[in-house]
Amino acid sequence: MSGAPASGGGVGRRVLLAGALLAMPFVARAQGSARVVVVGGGFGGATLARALRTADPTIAVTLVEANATYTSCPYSNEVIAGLRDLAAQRFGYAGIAAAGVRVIQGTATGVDPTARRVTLADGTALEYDRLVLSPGVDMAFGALPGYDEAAAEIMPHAWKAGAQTDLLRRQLEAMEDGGVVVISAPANPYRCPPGPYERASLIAYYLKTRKPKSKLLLLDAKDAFSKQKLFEGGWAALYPGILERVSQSDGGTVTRVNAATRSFVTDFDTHKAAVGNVIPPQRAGRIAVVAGVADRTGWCPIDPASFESRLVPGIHVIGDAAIAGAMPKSAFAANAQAKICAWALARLLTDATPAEPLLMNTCYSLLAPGDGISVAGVYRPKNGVLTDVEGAGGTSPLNAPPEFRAQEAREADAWFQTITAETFG
Amino acid sequence: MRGVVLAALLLLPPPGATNCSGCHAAGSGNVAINGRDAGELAGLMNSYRSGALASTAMGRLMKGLLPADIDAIAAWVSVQK
Repeated sequence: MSGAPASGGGVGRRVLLAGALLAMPFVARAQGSARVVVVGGGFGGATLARALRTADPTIAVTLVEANATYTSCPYSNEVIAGLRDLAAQRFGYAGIAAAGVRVIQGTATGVDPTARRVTLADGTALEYDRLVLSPGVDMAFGALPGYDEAAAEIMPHAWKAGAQTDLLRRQLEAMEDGGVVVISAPANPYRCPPGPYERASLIAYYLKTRKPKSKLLLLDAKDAFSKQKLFEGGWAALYPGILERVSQSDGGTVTRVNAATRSFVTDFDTHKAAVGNVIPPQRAGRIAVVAGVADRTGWCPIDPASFESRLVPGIHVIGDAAIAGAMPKSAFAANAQAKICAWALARLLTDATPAEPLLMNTCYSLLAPGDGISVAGVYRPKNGVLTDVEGAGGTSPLNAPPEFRAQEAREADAWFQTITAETFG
Repeated sequence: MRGVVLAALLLLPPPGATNCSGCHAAGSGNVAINGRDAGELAGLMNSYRSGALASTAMGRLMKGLLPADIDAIAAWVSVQK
């Protein structure tokens, strides 16, 4: 990180700026005046705040985040399966503040794109030259009949890590052996495409090792899914008779849930669960809608070189909320997009053109502890859309030897250690 | 101050370069790459790309780069701390 002193971005900066404007107008424009506000301190926003201080230490960066600590979704499936403590998922913002970012704990509730001003729930107003929204996803409560916030306290989604993760874990622990766990997976797009299948794998591992008379039913609104052959091969080898998936074509789409009876309703059946995990449809976090950067799909169209909104100038959207072409909604992708966006902002704020981007993604999943698989991708813009580079990327080989799988599991651990350190300092 | 701007422009990451730290940031659990010799880094990346060196994810990722990308990325990473 840069050794630049921390800037409060407040009165001191304005005094400095006023002096600079009088004495050195050129330097003032090029150096001291730019203010960037970042909303959302997950893998996208937190990475961006720090990366921007590296790309141009003269930019005043303010990060607005509702929570005092971040709880990571990657590796939260291990928490659900009892393999890891939730505490290991939590990261604070001291490292980001130490990089010279002004960190405000608060909730952004309003955006005025004309005045270039963000308003927080407590009335604080923050002016910006460029705004970055990295709000992640909201559960689209109401999109699946019967599933609302109250129902989520009975049939947790656990698709935002934290209390929901803990709730699902406790329900599994309290379940009597012989129970049926039901997971419903949504249609695309949603956060972490392989996530439901890793979750099914690790819950099946928990059942196999702790409650072997129990079963897991995965009701899927899709036919095809990420790393499908690897998951299906792993399930056949590891969890026969325990894990069953029903695809869309076979009637897997859940059309309604009933929290009172913990039931999942499909076109042909009603499945009553001992433990029910509803992974519902999702959309961009609310502030994206408030700011006008989400389109009718609920997600945010962006320019792939700068991640600037195609709908509202001066606002950039990164991470799960963005429509990033072939890039999946993953922590790795959010981190990679944040760095591209940070360098693009440094260019735009000095009237330069952002460089042509080349992005990568790597997603690891565990079939069982020490048994890892991955998918990778490389992306370049094509006709304004981030597109897979042909001949690159793809999944781990099918039927890889156990040593290869063990190596991928170790790399997954190392990746998590790296990405959290790079994001939160 | 102008020197700072100039240095920043010279250190502008070439396409693809900022992806590396997603797995190889300083002090990470994976192999450290920052500050290593550019020729050595480019040699490794090209070997992963061709398959001469076996790998898990690196080969799949490097196939998305051109030799010129690899040289530029290696040069940039070699001067990162």
